[in-house]
Amino acid sequence: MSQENILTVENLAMHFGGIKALNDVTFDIKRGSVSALIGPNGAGKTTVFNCLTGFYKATGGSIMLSACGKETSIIKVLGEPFKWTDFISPVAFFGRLKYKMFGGSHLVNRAGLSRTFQNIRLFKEMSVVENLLVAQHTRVNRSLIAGILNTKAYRQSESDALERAFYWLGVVDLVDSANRLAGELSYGQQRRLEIARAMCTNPEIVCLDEPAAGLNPSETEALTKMIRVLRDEHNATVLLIEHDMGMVMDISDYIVVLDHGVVIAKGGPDAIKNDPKVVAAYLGAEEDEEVTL
Amino acid sequence: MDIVLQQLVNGLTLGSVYGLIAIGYTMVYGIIGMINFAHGDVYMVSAYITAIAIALLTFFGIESFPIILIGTLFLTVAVTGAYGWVIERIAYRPLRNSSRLAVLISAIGMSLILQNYVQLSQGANQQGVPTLLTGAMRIEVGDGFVQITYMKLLILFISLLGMGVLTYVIQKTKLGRMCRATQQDRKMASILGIDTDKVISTVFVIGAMMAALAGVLVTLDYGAFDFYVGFIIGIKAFTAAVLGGIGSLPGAMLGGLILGLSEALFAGLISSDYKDVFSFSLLVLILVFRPSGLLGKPEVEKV
Repeated sequence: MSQENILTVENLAMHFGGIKALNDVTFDIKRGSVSALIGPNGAGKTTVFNCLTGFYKATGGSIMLSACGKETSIIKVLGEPFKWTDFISPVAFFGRLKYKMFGGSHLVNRAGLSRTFQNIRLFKEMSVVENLLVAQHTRVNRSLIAGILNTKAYRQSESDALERAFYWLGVVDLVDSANRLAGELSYGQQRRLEIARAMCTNPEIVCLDEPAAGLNPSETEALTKMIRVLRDEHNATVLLIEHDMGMVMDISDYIVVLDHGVVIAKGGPDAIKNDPKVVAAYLGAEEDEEVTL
Repeated sequence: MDIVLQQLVNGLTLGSVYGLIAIGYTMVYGIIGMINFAHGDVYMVSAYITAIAIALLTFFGIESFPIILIGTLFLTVAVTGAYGWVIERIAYRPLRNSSRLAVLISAIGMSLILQNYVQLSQGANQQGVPTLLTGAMRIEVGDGFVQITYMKLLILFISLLGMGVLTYVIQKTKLGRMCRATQQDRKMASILGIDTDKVISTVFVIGAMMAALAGVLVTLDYGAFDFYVGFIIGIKAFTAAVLGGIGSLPGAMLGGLILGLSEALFAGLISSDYKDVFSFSLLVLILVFRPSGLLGKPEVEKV
């Protein structure tokens, strides 16, 4: 595809009642890059992720995802309220009605975006390999009848899914634990499994929410390597939230800094390191040297 | 001795019927955490559809029992499944994100609507279907005998088959995996691209279909039914679901069998007047020692 940006976020706003968690967030993510979203605690990083993945319905602005050969407006597929202009144009009316009735966050994933969570959300009572199979259901022959009769096409698609699952288990180094329950794995293994599961949906962009939280230095290093593998060998664009600055500076091509729901800086790692606004946001500014945003 | 065996057979058939209906309660509870009070009435609707299907088939001149049975099963299961889908669509889905009590009230409303709708359209009198399958198997035991009607055998066979197929679907197929994933974490399942609304609809349809299976079998066996028949059997099946651990599929089947067996044994050996007292006392006892039911997992409730 020709377009350079896989994700375009414009004037994104998210209000919870009177609380403005996000105020006018604008950034682009380049295809094939590793980008990081950083900021102090409570800056709204996870809220941005929740809006991107359809977990929240954004209050305003637009999020355009350009993946899987088409442009998808993430806010539109979640189902928007009707506007008066819809009653004049039947096309717009039925478009909106369709997403109101059948829309939802599953469409965001089908459009080519997947994510992991800060607090791990595996299906703890399923085995490791089943966690990966569930993520692939959109591509498997889904007919129930085929499943009960165990037809040849169904068995074929199941074995393809299994093969892919084991491929990803190999990438995250969990093959030995394939038949254990996901809830039994250690913390670091669960983190890796979550990334594998996100990748099993075959996304073009994967959003990792604090993938290194709670990992020891050698695990973090392995994770850094793995993220490079995702980008280089699987053409995935990676967007991550991370507090481990060493890792962020090491791995990212592009960094967006958020504070109090506003983007205060964006650019390459070197530019960000020396940006006075970023330093002020992290360390706190002196009272007399007011930082203007 | 013979009476114990006789009541064991009766209890097994009764229990498998309870188990079939309990599946609907337990699956719906598992996936959206609500108690579908209209489920007993879905069973009642299926009894009426059974009668209509038999009437239709005989009207077209079909007289052989196997064809009537298969035709009735097919028609009733399909139409009742459609009822399940519609009920979820109009009464529960619009309330998906509101408080759990709202859905509960909506379910009670749906139950009343179904009862009154059937009463209006089919009349308030008791209805009946003719006995289609007669005959029984007799087994000599000591100086007495145990009598198993062919209908009871059929009930046992079809309900165990239904449960077997369902267990296979939930454990092994794609759809089952999607159901289990949605049950464990609905939002996460949706982020992995699973259309959770569709999965929830499917669960309601499966529950209604299992109730319809029970409806056809019981109606063919007892012959008589009215618009209120769903209430008491619904309560019993719900008890079975709670007994086995609500939310657990094998639990519902086990709970149904235990409830049916204990009820039949108590009725046969001690007193049939107090059999309901006994089965509900059993429920209380089991809940005192295992608050989450026999196979249920303890869960932190966030009402």
